[in-house]
Amino acid sequence: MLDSFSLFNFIEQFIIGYFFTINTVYLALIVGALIYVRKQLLHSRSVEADALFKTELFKSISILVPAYNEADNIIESVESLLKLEYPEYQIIIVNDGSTDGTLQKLIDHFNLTKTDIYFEEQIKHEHIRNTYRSPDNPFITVVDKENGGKADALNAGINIAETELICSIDADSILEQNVLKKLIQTFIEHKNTVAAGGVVRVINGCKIKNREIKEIHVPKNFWARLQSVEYIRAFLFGRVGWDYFKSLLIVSGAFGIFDRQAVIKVGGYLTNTVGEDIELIVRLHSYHLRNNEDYQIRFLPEPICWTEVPTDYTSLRNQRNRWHRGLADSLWRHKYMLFNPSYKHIGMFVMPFFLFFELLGPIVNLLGYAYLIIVLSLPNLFNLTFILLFLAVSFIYGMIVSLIAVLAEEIAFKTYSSFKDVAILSLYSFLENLGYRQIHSWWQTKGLIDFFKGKKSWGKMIRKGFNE
Amino acid sequence: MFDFNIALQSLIGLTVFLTLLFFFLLGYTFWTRKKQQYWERYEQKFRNYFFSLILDYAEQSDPKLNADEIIKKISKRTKDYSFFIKLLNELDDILDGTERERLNDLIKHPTFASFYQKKLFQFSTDSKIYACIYFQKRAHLESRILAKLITVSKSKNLKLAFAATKALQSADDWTIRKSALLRFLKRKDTSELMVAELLHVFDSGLAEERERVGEALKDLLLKKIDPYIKNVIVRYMGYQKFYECSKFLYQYLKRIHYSPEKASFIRGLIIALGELHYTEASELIKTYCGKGSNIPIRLAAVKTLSTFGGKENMTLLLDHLSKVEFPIRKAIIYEFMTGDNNRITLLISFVRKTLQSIKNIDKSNYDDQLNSYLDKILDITSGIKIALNHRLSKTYA
Repeated sequence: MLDSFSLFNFIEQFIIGYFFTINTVYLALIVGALIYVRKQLLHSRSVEADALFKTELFKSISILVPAYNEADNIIESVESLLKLEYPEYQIIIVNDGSTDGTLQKLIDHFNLTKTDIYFEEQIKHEHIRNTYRSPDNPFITVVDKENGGKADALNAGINIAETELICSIDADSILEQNVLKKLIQTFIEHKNTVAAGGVVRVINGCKIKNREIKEIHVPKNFWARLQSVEYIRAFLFGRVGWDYFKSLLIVSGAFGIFDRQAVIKVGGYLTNTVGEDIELIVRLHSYHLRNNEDYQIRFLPEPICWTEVPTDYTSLRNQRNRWHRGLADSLWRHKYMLFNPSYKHIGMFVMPFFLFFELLGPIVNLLGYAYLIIVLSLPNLFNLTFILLFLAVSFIYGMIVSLIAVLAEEIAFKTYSSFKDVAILSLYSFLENLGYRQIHSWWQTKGLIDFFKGKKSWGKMIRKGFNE
Repeated sequence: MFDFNIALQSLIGLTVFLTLLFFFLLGYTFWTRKKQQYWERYEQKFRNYFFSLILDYAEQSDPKLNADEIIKKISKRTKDYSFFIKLLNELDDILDGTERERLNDLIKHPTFASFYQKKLFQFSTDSKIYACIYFQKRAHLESRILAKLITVSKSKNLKLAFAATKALQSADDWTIRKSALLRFLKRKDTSELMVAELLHVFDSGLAEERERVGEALKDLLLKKIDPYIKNVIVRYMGYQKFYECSKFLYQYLKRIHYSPEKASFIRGLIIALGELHYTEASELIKTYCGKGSNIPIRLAAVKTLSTFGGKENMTLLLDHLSKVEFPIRKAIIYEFMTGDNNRITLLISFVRKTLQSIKNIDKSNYDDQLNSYLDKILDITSGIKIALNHRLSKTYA
């Protein structure tokens, strides 16, 4: 049996080892991703579609816009979608039982008339009350259905769509005008692509005119700035890194493009989860690996979708709580994939990584910080060596990782309009590790607890909207 | 157990490293941004100067300049060449006719040719890709360049091979173009969209080359290529109206045996024959219409038979209407809504007959099978109603 000395020693070694490992993996992902991104950007011209669009052999796309109480910005959102550069696409807006007049606004603005649509309910969803089309604009279809949540609305859209590809977006996101042309490159480059995501960036702080981004700046809000660093570190380079290893487990719900038949084959979006985006991707992996079918789930390392991030403590907490519940739910539902060689690298490496470092990581983080406080406060346990090492591998190493991510973004993309923005984000990459990550770990741990309690709600989110 | 000195050294080391890294990266990113800003300004100036010059040259307005005079004005910097070529490519998309031809004279100028030739022979993949993209716009490629492009087109790097294969389509020698295409299509990692892009580049669209292109495409279909690629080839032949290949495609469809791997190819052949209006194939296509084949094949068969038209084909589709799954049912209903009113008359008589047969059903013999049949009929009638409404609204529009 372990005596108390070796027990504490073991705990300390475990904590140090854990922080060192997770930060090293993230650093490797970022550095690898930077090299990969630069190559991808340099080579992207070789797969630019040109002649393809002069044939009838390109893939047509339906953009699915689930809308729940989006009356304030739904018209601008759809208008901006009408400006996208792509030879053939449809827009299907699914009004998910809004109570704020979203539907009426759409009817009035686009002069919609009731039209029946003959379709098969290949994926179950709540009852569709009516469908509408615009005589002036045949590309727009509006589906009015009973409230069933975002996933349910997307499922209705998938049933109605008749194109090869579907693109799911958030009604409050802004897309780059060439987003579809860019993303189709992923389908050109990779045979059997069933899903592709792109970089989702923070819109807060940007100058917008007519729903087009004119200048890109860091947000003015403290929480939003911290999230900007996080989006670069985890959602930009993190995902590019996973993509490099063909191990992408998340395509953001704010923007993703899918092979419609592949989604139908796996049963569409799951409605009784709060992490429908990650769950669908895990299910796509699971289905194709189980049936030994060739498939690819890829990530385009270019900023294509802009989204508003929460700017107040409560909304951010609720969002992160929900994300963590979504992750827990997906891993729980697909636990059969863990360490199962039939699921290849996804089952043997990616899922365990997400389980131990992404899902359970916050608990270890909190325990580490709690242990640090105990060590600092109890003279008997005071261990300067541990404290110094902990500071090194947790805080300072974390800062290095965040800083490299921010500056790597600048090297690869130069997204921000001014260097001042980069300097601000660099400073926030230090701040992110001093307080935010700790609070974030707590929100995630709370999310895990809520998952076990069976909480399924999305939580309240306050959005301020885009200031033009 | 941890060593205190190691711990302290780690902390100090990391802190120093972080500080140095911070200043280094900050400085480096600042420098790269400044450099980028400099080149952006430079490019703008460059464009302002050369835009009107090139346009004057293309339009041959006064003063008349020749290509050499313009090229002389460019410094020998790599950036200048790439800015110039970028500008030419942009204008190439806008201009037409003789102006475009003159523009191409600039693109083909030996200065650029030798510049990109050097790039093509460099070790770096990036350089090779840039060179390939340039040579895609060139004609009359020299044998040395062609030889290198052929080597590059065999690369394991898919994007590089794709770019080189596209560039090889600028070759004067037909066999080089064809064999490059074949080589690429034989790869296992080629996507359908890449095939479509290459086919359109391969097919110059010139009337005098049409027969040769058709023959080449037929030839490709006889090679050992994956069926999903052959599917793209035959659909391309159909959409681009290679009528002279119709019989060949029909013979192919006759000889092919169904297997799940060949399903997409069979579907492609049926679509192509429909596009080419090869009505002799209707008897054969009818065999793919019934249950047993996969749904995409049957959908293609429905569409093609409807394209062929004729009472016999349409009656066959009607016979299937109450027996088939939803996607096929929907396709059949919508096919009846296109074209002339005779189709609607046929459809209405089908509905009448069906309703009559329902009336004659012995109600005491209700079972699940009958219920499901009635559900199907109900679905068909609502489908017809919806499709008719769509047709009417289109007519009014």
